[in-house]
Amino acid sequence: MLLIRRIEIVNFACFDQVEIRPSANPKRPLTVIRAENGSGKTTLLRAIRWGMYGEQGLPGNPGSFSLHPAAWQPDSQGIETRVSILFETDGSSRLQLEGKPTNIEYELRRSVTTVHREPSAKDEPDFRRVREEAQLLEREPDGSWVPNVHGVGRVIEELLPWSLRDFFVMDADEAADFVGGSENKEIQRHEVIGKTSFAVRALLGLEVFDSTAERVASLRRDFERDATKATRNAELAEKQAELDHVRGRLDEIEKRLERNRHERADTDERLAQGRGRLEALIGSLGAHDALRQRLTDNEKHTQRANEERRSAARELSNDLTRVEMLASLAAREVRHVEQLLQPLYDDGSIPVRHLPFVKRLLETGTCVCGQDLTSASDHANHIQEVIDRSTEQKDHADHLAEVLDAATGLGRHADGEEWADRTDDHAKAVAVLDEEINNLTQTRLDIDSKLDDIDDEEVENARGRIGMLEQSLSKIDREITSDQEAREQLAKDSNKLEGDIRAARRQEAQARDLERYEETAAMLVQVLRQAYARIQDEQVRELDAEMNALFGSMAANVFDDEAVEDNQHKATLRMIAKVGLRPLEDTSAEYEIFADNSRGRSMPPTEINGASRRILALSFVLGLCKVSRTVAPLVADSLLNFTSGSVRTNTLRVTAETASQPILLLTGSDLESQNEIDLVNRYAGATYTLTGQWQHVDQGGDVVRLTDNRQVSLLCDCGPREYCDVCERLGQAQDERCTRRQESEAPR
Amino acid sequence: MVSNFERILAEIRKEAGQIAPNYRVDPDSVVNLIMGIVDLEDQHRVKAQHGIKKKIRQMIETAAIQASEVR
Ligand SMILES: [Zn+2]
Ligand SMILES: [Zn+2]
Repeated sequence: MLLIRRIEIVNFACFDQVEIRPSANPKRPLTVIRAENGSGKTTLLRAIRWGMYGEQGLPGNPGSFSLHPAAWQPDSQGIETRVSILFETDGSSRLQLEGKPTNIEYELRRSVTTVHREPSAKDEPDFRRVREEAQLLEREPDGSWVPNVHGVGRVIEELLPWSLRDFFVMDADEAADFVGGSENKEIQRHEVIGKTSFAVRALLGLEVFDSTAERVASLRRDFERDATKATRNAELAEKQAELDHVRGRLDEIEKRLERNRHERADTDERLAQGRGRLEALIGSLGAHDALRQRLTDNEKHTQRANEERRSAARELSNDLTRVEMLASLAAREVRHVEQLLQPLYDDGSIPVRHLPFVKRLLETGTCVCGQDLTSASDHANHIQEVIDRSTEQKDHADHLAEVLDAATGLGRHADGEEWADRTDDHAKAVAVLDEEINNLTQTRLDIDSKLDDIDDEEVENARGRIGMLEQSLSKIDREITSDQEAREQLAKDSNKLEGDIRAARRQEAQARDLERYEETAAMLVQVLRQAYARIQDEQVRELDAEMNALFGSMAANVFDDEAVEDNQHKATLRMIAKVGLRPLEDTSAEYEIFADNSRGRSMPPTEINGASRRILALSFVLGLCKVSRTVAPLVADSLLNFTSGSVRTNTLRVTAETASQPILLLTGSDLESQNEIDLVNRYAGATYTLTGQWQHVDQGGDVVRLTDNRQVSLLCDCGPREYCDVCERLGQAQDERCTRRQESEAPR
Repeated sequence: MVSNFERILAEIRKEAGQIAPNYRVDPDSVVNLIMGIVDLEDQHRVKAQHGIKKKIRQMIETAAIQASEVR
């Protein structure tokens, strides 16, 4: 719902300052603005459209369309044009359904400043517009005005869509676009259908219905697709089988690992044993080696000892001359001999020195003991015997004595002792070396015997066994390592699969959810489509019937419209038997306004005359608002053009009775007949008269007084049969049907 | 600009009354859901609502979950 409360226009083309307060009285909804052709009707309509839609509401190239007053001389200060529209809406129809008080008052203020600019091309305007501002104020419950948060465009587009501009603020010519154009322009059938269909679909709610159904249907497809995808992603059984397989392999590997661990322990033990044995063997082998080493050392030592012995001998020989050497070599023997002989000598065993004495005793014939030795006495015999015995030994004893003498002499020689000592030393050294060599030889015999005890073959065998054990151990270790890696990988795989399975379960649950959503969406689509079909069907049928009824009411009692008909080749109202709206055959979303003749033949809009087209368009607009329960203004210019008589009266009556807020711009001739005056008196809640100062009598017009010296259009409150100082036209004062209004009531 | 919500509502009530029981769903909640969506869609026509599709999707999901909980 939208009702205009006030329109204020300032400095807009021919308007200096005008204010219109359309009727909002449901019993008298009509607002009549009387205006002769050329007194600013079209401009008024443009001002309203500009107020609503801004620059895009202007015709042609908006940049060259001037908004500023004609009298304004372009200057740099510029001039501000302003349009303010105060209106009331019920906000959202839905909120209204819910019983909430939602009426909101808005004030739409649009302003722009026109300033001078030097045209750069010949046909460029000498002005430009700056600082266009649009503001939408909303009245708060406490009566204050605050800017609406959604902004101008949004709210206006919601309440008065740009594409429906001709529908609510119409030049009758433009309204005729709904049925294929006006006298001056023909528009393509598909454009007509597009425009008509949009209006129908928008106002009947089919558009929103259809897009809702389409969106939900699209969501349903999304749900379906997502559900399919989720189900496909799930593939639970396949993943479970894969997991089972992986787990099986994992078990296998665990078992082999267990087995290998045992085997490894066994092998380890055996290896330890083998190593122990080998160690024992290698231990004796070590002894063996040590023995061999000792043997080598022994040989070396022996060699050295021998060398030392030789060198000791050499040293000795070097020490001595041949004689000395001999002496020294003999010294020991000499001493030995001396030692052997000395006791013999001492006990007289060597009587070498006593023999002469004994012989002399015999010669002297007396023994020392006094006995006579001259006769062959016993004593003398005895001595003779001693002599004889000693003589036998004499040579021997002499030799021994000589030897003893020599030995004693040698022993007494100064060097003899030294030679003996030195010989002793050397002999000792040699003896020591001989002892050592002896020992070494003995050791060597020991070593050889020990070496014979070690079994080389056994060592080789032990080593071979250890080698094999080590090989098998490293094989087991490799297997264990590879199995551990495999197990790790499988564990990873298994984890991943478990994750996948969990995800798949979630996906499956999600798929179930999505299926539920899809089902819900499908149900919504079904409800929407069926409700849509019914609404479309019924409402379009309703609209169709309503249009025909309205058209019938307006075209009833047609006798005299032919009087104003200028084109005899076109179909007239009388020839139209039925009008309405029908869906196009190939699509249910598009509609076409039609007019059939009495034989049921459809008449192309171009073949229908202007009056009929206008009334046809009007019946569409009024019918659509009625069926869709749209409460909105209908600002219409030239609505009654080309009509006359009962058609004109009926058109005005039906519009006043059907439209929520008809704001009609009518000419004096539109209001000539008393029938129309009666309708205005009955339905109009507000009346205005627009007077162009340029239509003053001095300028060849019929406006009696020049109220304002400028080229402006003035608005007064005068009704169709009223006049005042501002709007008085020639002849009105003499016309008894007209009344003069008091000056205090005008101008505005 | 849709003024005949009342009419739309009536039709939706009628259809929901027939269709919703087939889905074992409460018709009133279906009507509320649809009118909510239609309202969003109506606003969207005037000015593109950010994320309207997601919003409606969530509305349907919530409704479906609630409906399955009621069952
Ligand atoms: Zn004697
Ligand atoms: Zn007047």
